[in-house]
Amino acid sequence: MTDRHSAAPDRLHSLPRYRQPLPRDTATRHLVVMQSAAACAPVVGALEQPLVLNGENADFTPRLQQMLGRATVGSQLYIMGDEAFIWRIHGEARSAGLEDDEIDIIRTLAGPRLVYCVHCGLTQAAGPEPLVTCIGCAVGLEVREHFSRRLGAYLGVCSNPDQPYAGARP
Amino acid sequence: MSAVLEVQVSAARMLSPVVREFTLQSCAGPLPGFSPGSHVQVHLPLATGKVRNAYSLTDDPAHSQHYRIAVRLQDVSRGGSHYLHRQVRVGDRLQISPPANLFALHSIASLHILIAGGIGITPFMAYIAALEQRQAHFELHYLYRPGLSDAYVDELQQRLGSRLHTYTSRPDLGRILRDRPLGSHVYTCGPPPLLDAVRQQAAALGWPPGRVHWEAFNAAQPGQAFDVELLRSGRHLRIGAEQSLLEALESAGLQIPNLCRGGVCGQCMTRHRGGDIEHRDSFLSPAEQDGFLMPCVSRGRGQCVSLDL
Repeated sequence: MTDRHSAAPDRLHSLPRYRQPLPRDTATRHLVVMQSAAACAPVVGALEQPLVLNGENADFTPRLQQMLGRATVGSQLYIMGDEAFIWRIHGEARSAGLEDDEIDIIRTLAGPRLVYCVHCGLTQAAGPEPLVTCIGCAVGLEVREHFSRRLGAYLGVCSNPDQPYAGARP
Repeated sequence: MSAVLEVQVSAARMLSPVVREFTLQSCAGPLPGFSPGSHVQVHLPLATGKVRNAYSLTDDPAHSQHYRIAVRLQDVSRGGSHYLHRQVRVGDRLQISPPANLFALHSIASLHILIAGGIGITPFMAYIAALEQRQAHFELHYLYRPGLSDAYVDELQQRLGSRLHTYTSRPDLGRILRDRPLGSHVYTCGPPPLLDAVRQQAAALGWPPGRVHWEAFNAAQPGQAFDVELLRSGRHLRIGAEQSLLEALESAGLQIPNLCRGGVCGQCMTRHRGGDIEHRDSFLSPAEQDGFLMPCVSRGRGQCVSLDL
């Protein structure tokens, strides 16, 4: 028994990959959820009779629940927006029973990235910089390229082990 | 996987004219627990050599002081099912390998659609017990030949009521798989044409492969005799027509990891260095077959096969 060859990864496995999807021909129903009209991706034009929800509409949340509740196997979901929106909808779709390969994620909007502080558990918006200070516990965090799909956030870990309680004043 | 369990046949009964059920009791200590969909390998000392056949455990996994298997008498086989039907008696001892599972329930599915063909009902007997305990939504579609391969059908009718759908000819799979809610998963076990039909129909309705689970009864099929060379030891072995390469290697004292003995699990993958090989597995990609083979099902056909063993 010899292990199968696997190429050395050039990036951490958990980092999300965003790309323009191709319409999945085998899908029998296409569901599109966009954060706003500005988030719409070109792929929508190529889909056959897609059901489209826009996050700007007032009744977006109940309509999303209704759409996911009524959907059947064979549906393909396309989520468009910024990273935080994409993963919030992704989580709801997974809870509703969609599988990972039935969901396409298309990042069409720039936005903050969410950082989860592993010390105090607070999820917070941050910029692209690699070092941030947690707004919950004031620990200096290094934002790792370790992404939680469930939280939709990057893990922030204490950057200086000699200062693990930066915000605490004894 | 070298551990062997000693068991005794504590009961045997015919479930149909071609299906015999065995209850196996431990000879020493409690039997290991198992999950629904698990199988054991039964070691059979046939005249042509030792054969190991895999059989699903049909018991309720939550209460298993013993194991139960059901064996269909096969017309074309290397003799394993004949041995179990004709030779084995209550009180006999058998050797089995511990349970392994290559056909597990999908834990987060919200609807389980089970499609069994004939003796393919066996893993689902354990599924049903587990699904009933979890109060999960499920339905069983059971295709059989009345009076021949209809094992457990009376019991199932009483137990499942409207959740059981029986068929004596190929059901309309489109009707079974169309318009199912998002949390649905389908599981099928039975003869290869049924599995192919389920997979094709599911794909045509837009089901991704991850929602479609299947277990084939793959077992080594006979072929022609051939020779192998073991490169590390320099030994030469002759593999008989009725013997699998894996069985021959085991008889020669080599321990090769293995689970399914049917060319699907990938455990026994072995590096080869050339020879005329007939690949019969459904695990390796064509590119991988250039360097590896699965000795549980694949064979040489002519020129000597060199193995990195």
